[in-house]
Amino acid sequence: MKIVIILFVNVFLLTGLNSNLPKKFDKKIDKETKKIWNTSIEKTLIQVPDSIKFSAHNLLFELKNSDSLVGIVSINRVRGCKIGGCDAIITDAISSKYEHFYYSVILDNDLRVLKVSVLEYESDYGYEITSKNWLKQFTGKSDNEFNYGEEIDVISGATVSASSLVFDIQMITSYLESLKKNKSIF
Amino acid sequence: MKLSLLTLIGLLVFSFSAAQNNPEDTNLSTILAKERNFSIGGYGQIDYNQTINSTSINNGNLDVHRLVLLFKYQFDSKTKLVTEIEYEHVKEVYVEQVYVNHKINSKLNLRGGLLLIPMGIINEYHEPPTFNGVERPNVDKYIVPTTWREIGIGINGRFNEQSLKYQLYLVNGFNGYNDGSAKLNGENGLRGGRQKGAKSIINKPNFTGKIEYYGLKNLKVGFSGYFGKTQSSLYKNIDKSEENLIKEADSTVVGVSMLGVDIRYRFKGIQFKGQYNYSKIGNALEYNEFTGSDLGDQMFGYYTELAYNVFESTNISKELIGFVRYEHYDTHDKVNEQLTKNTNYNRKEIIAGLGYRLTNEVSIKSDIQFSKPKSIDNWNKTLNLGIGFEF
Repeated sequence: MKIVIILFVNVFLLTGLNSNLPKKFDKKIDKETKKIWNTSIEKTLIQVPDSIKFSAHNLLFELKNSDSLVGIVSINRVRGCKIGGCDAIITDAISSKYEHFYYSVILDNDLRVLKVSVLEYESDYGYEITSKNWLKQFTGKSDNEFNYGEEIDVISGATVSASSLVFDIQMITSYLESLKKNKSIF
Repeated sequence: MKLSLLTLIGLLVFSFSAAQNNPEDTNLSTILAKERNFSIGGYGQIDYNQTINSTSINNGNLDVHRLVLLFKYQFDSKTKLVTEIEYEHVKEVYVEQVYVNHKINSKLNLRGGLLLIPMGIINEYHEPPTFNGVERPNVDKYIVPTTWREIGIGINGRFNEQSLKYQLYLVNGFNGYNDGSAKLNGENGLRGGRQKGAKSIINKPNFTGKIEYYGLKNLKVGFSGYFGKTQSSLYKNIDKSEENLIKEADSTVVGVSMLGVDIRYRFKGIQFKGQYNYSKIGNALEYNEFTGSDLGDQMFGYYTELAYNVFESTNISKELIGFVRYEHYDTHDKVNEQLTKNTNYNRKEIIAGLGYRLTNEVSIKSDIQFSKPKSIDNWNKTLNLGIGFEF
């Protein structure tokens, strides 16, 4: 009986932790990791202390294939376009003007990008970034290889969403590099 | 048993306090469900248009052509309201868009309200920094009557895997005949028939849709369609037995079918845009006979535009865009046997100019526009200068 209850409680707790992600995000990432590694990959939330968190919205998961670490997935919220346009690169601080979207980036152990996906995109502007062909450009690249307009093509009419996604991936990869170097988390 | 209960309580307290510590930061489901936000945007253009003629003196025009305020309110993660309020020429006020969009999932959204007809590029996306030249292309005035909006309902969504976006709406049609006069004619085509959602009358709804493909790198292609019949104020209080009156009202109605294709291509500093629209008008003969108008049977218009950012290969991050646009449109491409083609309505234009982006959201524009109806040999010249902005 005791064991049953403890087991039950533990299962409850674990599922509680995994429900950090909306179901459809969860499903989508699982589907992608399965496609990359040809097998079901377990993902566990990394508890990052607030002091070294990348951003309030950022979630990091360890990806494990039968107990060995194969990669990391980061989920983050970035600035999309604003109502009435997507031309201006973000320079001001009035963030409420902008819409936001969520994306995920799956990285291997060397922090090389395996897959970038846009998880949720609301706006009628700048949705071209959800195009697979454009997102493909990130694959195989790592830290410092993401420059909007150089390694990654610009999209007219999606300047804000595209550039903020590129910028965020650049930041998150160098953030993860530094975590790795300092052995802070993994 | 005692131990296990304690364990249970302990774990519950632990999980509760863990959740309390950081209730929002790590739970995206909660954040998404709670997301409400209000945003304001806007755009405008202030223009100077000057006809240049070696033999005559002409007034120039200075105009606050449009000042537009956009508001968006996100009620929750699924439902939003979008409004666009426009001041045209300082004193004409219009509501250009007001709709509620409810998202079921990214593939299916429900939308209702005053909607933009998804025909061509400019009708949907007309913020001044997004187009080259001081004025919008004239194909998007005479063939696609920009800004074309009517009240309607429908669905839209995106298939991200396939890079497809679609929109399908049932909307109110043009008013072809109101208070004893024809609203459609040879010179302006369908433009005069827009009801713009202001006390509009409806007899039969129209159908419009667009599919866009953005799967190829640097390229975006759109296909638009619009089908239906115009409305008429003559269907007011007609007794169903009054066949003559019904027939009379029927003769003030025309059928409208419009097709469009548009292409946007960008590679490095080069941008190419093209759009072609074709419309077929049914019953124009009867319509013209009854109303005395000169509406054509068939209209078409297209433009192609090539632009280049002069600063592309330099270190300058600002943009100086040189462009050339060629337009050809004819609102009398085909006319019925009772009418003679008016060659004034077969117009060609060449616009060449420069746009400098002072910041990403402000452009200073200048261009020279050569226009020529088929009926005359000389090109009319107009100099246009303008300030365009969005925020």
